[in-house]
Amino acid sequence: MDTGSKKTETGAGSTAGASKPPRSKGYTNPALQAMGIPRLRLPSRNWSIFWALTLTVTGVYAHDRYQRKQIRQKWKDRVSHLAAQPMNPLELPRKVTVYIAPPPADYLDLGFAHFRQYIKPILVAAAIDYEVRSESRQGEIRALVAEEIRNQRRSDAGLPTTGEQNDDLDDMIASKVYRDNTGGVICVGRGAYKEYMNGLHEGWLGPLEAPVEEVSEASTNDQLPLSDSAVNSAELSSGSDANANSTTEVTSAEAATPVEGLAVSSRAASETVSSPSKGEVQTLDQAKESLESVEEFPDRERDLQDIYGQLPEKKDGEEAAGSGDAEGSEKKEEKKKVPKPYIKIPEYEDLETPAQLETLAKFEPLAAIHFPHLLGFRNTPKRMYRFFNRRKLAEEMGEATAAVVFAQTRQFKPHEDQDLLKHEENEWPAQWKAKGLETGSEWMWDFAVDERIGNKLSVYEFRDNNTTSDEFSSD
Amino acid sequence: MSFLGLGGNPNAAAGGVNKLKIDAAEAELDMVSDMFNRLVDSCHSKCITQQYPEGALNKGESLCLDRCVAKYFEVNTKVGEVS
Repeated sequence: MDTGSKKTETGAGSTAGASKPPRSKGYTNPALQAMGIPRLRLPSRNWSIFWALTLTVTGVYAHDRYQRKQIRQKWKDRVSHLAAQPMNPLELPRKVTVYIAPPPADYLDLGFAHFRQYIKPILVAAAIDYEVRSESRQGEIRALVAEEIRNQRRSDAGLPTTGEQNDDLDDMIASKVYRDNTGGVICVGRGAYKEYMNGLHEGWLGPLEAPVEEVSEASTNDQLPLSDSAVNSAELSSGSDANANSTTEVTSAEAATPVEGLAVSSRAASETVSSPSKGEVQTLDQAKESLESVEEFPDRERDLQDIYGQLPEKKDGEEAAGSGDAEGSEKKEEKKKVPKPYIKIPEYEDLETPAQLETLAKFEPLAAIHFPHLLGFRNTPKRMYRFFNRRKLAEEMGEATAAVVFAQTRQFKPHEDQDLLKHEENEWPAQWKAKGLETGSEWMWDFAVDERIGNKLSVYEFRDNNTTSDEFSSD
Repeated sequence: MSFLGLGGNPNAAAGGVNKLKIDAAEAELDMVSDMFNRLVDSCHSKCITQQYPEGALNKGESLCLDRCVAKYFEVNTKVGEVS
């Protein structure tokens, strides 16, 4: 193509603006001529630039995509011998719990997409069952984990538990079935990790019943679970304490929603188990009675309107105010409140160790998997770099998931490992963090791991033995 | 589904009620076995590869079957739900 010489520009200066430079003749040779192939030419300078840029960008993306696929396949192949092991029909496979939280200032389905792209294929290839638990607002994972642990403690102590009770059929099934109890927990991202750890502490070091808060100001909007909204919403706290607690939950829970947006995709909805236990539903009569018994509610008319659907007696002055606010209060009632933690996080030293911690507690090993997420206009170059280099992320995720699959653990070191994924916090938007600190939202609380619990935990970490001998059983 | 005789003549309707019940039971049995057969066919075609290196089910297939059955029933109930 170098021999395709341009014609010399003859007197081009005279007709400069109007005429284009003459087209080059292009390259040919007798062989090409004999085959009937026309003269080969590069396109014009501008088109050359255009095609060069476009094809470069496309090529880089395609290469990255191809490599991602190869890497994913490599990890899947490394793990797939576990799926080929025979299994008794009465056996249940190992089940891993995955906690997914929405990234700061963004939507939940990003977390799901990350899980689905990088982590899930390897779990599926290894025939490991997984259960995804997600949240739409801060604190739900913590409350979920803590309540589960409390139920475990309660059933051990013989107390009634909240949540679903096992009936006879479940017991019968459980007696006949062999479960693989290896278990495992995957926390996708720093936020989910923090919430999970906070939940563990709250569950094991905290009380079994919610601490009774003082009914200070009468902020009434969401206090009493009226029958309509109670049927729709699933409250975590046990029924009798719901009234006492929800007054003080208002300010903190309302403020603790910097993670906005509930754009949960339909597939995400089918994967989540985010509403754990159904609290007790108050009947209409009970609600009315409790309304009438407590006299400190200035907004009683509004509450009665919510019950009856209209104000029982019309009062001239308050009518306008009442009807205007009624819709707002109804909306707030329908929003589920995230239960406050039963203990002050992270002040764990003063809490006494329950005996059950020694006897009953079996902690599943934990994997905190990196979930990169960067927002911001000035981060655009960095984001572009990441976009074109997702194969490196795939490798990292593959390795982390393989550690879970092969159950390669190491001891949890409380002081070092409480900073697992701490580098993610640098990526959180500064404004979001500032607002979180101001409103006291959960992800911005001080985070510490108590040694009593830390010493019992273990972390999944990949050890590349390069042999498959100890990778034969996911033990 | 059960068509119990509504306060009819107990003597005359005894055989009739029995027959109705039997018919109902038959229909239900047909329905259940039909659903079972479809389930087995569907999940077999989805989860079990066409190469048979061994006769026993392995973990991947077992897990796939668990999920297939769960989804089948969930679809069944969702589609059958009124409203």
